[in-house]
Amino acid sequence: MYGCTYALVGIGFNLVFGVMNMINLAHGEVIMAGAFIALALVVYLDAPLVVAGLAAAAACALIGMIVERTCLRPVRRAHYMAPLLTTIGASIVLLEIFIKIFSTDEWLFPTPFEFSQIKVSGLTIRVSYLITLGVSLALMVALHLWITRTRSGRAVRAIAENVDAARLMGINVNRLTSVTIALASALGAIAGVLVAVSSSIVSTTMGAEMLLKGFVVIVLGGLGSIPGAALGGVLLGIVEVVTVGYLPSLYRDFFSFGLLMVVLLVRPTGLMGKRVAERA
Amino acid sequence: MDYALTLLSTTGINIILALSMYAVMSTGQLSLAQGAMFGIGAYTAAWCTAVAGLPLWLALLIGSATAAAVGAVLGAVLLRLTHFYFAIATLAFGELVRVFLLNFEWAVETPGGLVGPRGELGFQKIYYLAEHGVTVAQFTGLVWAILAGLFLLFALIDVSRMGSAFKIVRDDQLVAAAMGLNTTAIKVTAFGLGSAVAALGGGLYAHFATFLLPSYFGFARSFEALIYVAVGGIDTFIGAIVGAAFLTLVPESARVVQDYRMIVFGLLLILVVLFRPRGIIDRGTLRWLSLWVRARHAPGLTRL
Repeated sequence: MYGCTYALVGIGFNLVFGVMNMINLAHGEVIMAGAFIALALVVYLDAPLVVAGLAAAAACALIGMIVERTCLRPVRRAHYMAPLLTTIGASIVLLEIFIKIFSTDEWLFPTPFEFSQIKVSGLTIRVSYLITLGVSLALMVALHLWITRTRSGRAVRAIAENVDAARLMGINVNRLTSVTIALASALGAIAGVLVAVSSSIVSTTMGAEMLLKGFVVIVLGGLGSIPGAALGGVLLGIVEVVTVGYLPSLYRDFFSFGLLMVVLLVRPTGLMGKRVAERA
Repeated sequence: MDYALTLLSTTGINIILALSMYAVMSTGQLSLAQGAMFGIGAYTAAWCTAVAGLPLWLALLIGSATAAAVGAVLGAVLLRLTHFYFAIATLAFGELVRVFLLNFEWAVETPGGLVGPRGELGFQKIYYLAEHGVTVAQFTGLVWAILAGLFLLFALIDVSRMGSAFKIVRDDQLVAAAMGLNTTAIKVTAFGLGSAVAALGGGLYAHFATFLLPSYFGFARSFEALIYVAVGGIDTFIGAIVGAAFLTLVPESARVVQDYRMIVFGLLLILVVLFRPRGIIDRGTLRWLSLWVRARHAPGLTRL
């Protein structure tokens, strides 16, 4: 189940990487921001979860666009280190703002179906897991359709292929990049809300955790590849569940980071990656 | 007085951390493992004095050597990767170290109680300084003496063939390779050096703080080092020193900045990269400074 949210996280990274050829290191904190905005709406305004989730997605889309305008677009043609540094700066600012507001405590995320379960032929499944699964799958399918079937999706693919050629074809690169990062951030926010719902706990350390999980996912699946990210996310979910079954839970993270390094060494382009190693 | 000395020590240790980051960045690599190397140095050195009862200088040396060895092996394996894959891999390594420390227990019963790394509780009771009657002033002196040594080392590297090799690799790896330089070996050297320097800082930090928590050595620490260097300047090691000193001392002197320290750092990092990509102190600043100094002494020179 976690696999699906990881997939969403990874897709957020890969959308931005595919279009801008840059990694948005602030993405983890955007996810954290999404979870906390939804939390604030649910706790203080008694908003229904769906409304809170959508509002969080919209707010994060805006945050994402600001990050893109200030941290990514100006350094598009700069040294590879520049966007890494600026987005690290953005992630620190975001994290600290949320720490100032919500402190570093763990917050309980109230969900309407905390312990509700469904019994299907002897298997008990928690409702929150089903919702996570359903929402993630629906979003992934929708995203896939957008990328492959629509005009703007085609334009995005053109930009990913070659920015200059795309611009010459009359594509408004800046606007589409904005749209893409807004979409990626909104997906991230929803992923954050889903994680919060299924674990019913949110804390400000979540952003860092999601950033690292996202890395594992995109490296597993391949940088820049959206189906790869989906596959990587599911794989990471399975790996975590299996290792938890056999090893003490504290080793779970150890194993996934170890896996990340091994994959980087053996197959740096990931399972379904483009041949980025040659371009880099 | 003690406050000023403590601040001086902290500044010194932060400068050492910044220098370690500079060493790696001087070959154009972005390492997010410096915090972890700092932690390895801190834990190793603390273990050496608190559990094994070794003298401080030996403990610092062992901590440094351990991190250098880890760095060399890690570098040899990971530096085959191109730039940001390396950055990601070092980030993962940093987290591996942190998670490892969270689970690492090797406490030993001593007359003073249980001493050693104890997982989440961290490493407590590093009382070497108190037990050996080292005053804050003496410790500060030690920190700055080590810093002076490092200054000399980096200045020597800067003018040596090795320094030139670092710069060529940073500016253009293809050119470096075409000139017959072994780029991987050069990057591994810089990474090993950076790891050793970070661990030295970590060892000092451990004895100064008297207790360690695994969470101190996560990537927030690496980010901090990165900010020192990126803001100070990536052209010369002077930039790293100025950056670390400036960013340690200013928040101390202004309460407002202290409260919002990391937000200010984050914004500063973005602004510097956007408007002054080579950092505040670059080659140009240094040249300007030396011209200015020469101009002030010009009357003396004209008499010749």
